[in-house]
Amino acid sequence: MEQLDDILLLLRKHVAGNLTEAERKLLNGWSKQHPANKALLECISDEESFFTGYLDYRTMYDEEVSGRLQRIEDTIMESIKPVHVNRDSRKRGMFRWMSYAAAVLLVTSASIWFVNQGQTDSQQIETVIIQDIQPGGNRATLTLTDGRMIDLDEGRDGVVIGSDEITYSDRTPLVVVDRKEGPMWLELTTPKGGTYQVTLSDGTRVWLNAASTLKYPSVFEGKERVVEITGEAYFSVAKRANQPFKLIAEGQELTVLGTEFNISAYADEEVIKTTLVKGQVQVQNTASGKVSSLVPNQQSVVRPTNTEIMEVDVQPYVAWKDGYFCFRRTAFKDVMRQLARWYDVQIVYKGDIPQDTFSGEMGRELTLNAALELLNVSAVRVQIAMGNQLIVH
Amino acid sequence: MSTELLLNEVVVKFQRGDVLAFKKLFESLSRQMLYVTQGIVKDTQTADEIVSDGFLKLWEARRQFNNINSVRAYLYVLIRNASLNHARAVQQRIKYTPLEEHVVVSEPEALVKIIKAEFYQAVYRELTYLTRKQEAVFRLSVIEGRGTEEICEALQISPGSVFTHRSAAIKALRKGLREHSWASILCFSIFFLRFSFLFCL
Repeated sequence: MEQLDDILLLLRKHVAGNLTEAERKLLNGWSKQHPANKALLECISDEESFFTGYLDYRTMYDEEVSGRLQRIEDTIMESIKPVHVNRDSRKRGMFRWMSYAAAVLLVTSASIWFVNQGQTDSQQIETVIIQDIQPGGNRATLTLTDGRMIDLDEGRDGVVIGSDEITYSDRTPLVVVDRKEGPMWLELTTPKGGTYQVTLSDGTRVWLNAASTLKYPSVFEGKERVVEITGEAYFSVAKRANQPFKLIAEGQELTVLGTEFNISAYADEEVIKTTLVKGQVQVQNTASGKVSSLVPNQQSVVRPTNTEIMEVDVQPYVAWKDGYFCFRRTAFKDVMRQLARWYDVQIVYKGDIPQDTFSGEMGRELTLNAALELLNVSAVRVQIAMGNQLIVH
Repeated sequence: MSTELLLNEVVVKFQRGDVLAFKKLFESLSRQMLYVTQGIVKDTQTADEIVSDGFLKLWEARRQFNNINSVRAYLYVLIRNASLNHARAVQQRIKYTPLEEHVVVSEPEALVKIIKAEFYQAVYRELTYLTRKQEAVFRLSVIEGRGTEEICEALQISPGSVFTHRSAAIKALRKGLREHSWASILCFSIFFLRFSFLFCL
């Protein structure tokens, strides 16, 4: 699928008749991958078959098909109507509206009845309420040394730690820092369904993913720049040769000079994953004391027992910071975990965890229903239920 | 491309819940969707249901969209998944009936269908840009497959003109395909990738 763009470009050049020899080879290679590809290439190469194909498509404009489409359109318009009944509708409309309302009431009371039933015997009936859940957004809390907690503005997406004040990234003032007090420890915390970005006093930028906490000083003093993380964050560390940057997570310590990497150190996951995009870092396993170096496109997986280093495609690990989910043969369980953090839902397995894996990309701005729809798992296997639960059958 | 820009404006209204804008989207996109679905599931009633269902889901998810490419990509993914699921279920049921015609059940086949739908819709649009004479000749000769003599009689023109109009029409079409529609498919594909989910088993 990654090559779809390339293939389309090649097809376009093919139609225009300006393929180079190398490109022709690529296109031929693609056409050999599947009989359908070959058929498509043949179809657009030959005028006769191209227009024969077009005739087939043109039947979509035939009277018969237009009639069917009209009926589909009518049905759709009818079923979305209740949302758009205005107060000034005529009596007949009012009647229809009322019957919809009655139907909704009936469904609601039925589900309440089920809920009550469920409480008496939790095993008996699955209560599934059809509802949707909005995606997360820019949400975070900034905690100061003196215990003050500031809920950050959802309309803005980042804060900047300056030497005498903390501002939003658009320079709107947030907190005045008293320098005489010395450096103060700050804590940026995102809830489930929240992300935020912070620029530290040395210019290091950190994107904090959902359900994560970053602890850092307002000013870096001493030999090292030390910060602490739980959860997931993407770091773009500013270079300072004489003051290395040290990132502490429960179970590992990371030393860097100037670099970009992603770290995932959630308490509910068994391992800490550090994925290096640029530069160089050193990972120290706190339990074993072992130190390992990473080069770009490598990932370390730290467990209490050992540290594993592997080559990876970094995209799936950093996509969240650019606003999308990216899966590459990602296990069902991991996909659900990511959804759980972003949509603030709890995953409930009513049976074995499915063994499917997923590949593809999906915007994080989708609602949960839309996301499940794209994952093609919504039909019967995964349903949204009361109390922000996602039930997997 | 101007149609694309107009449709982007429609999508903005649609996002705010404008029913007329939704109608307009249905009218501009339903034929491609039905073409792809029908190419996979064969049964017209099921195809109609899948398309209908797809647009209803689009309506429910309307707040997510701010341009026509993402709407189109979303619909394609929905109806492709639904169609493939249905076709696979049918295929399982009729496994032992060898007379049944070939059923599309693979991702690449479905993708080729989508590329074709976009392609042919572009041809359809290009045809509206032809001159009346060109269009009439093209329609009679290429689409209806009539002979030159018949066309001469029907349109009261000489065989030479039939030839000229026909080749001018095909030339214009090819040119149009090169310049307009492919560009839109290309940028569409980026969104398609963004939304696309392969169910790897």
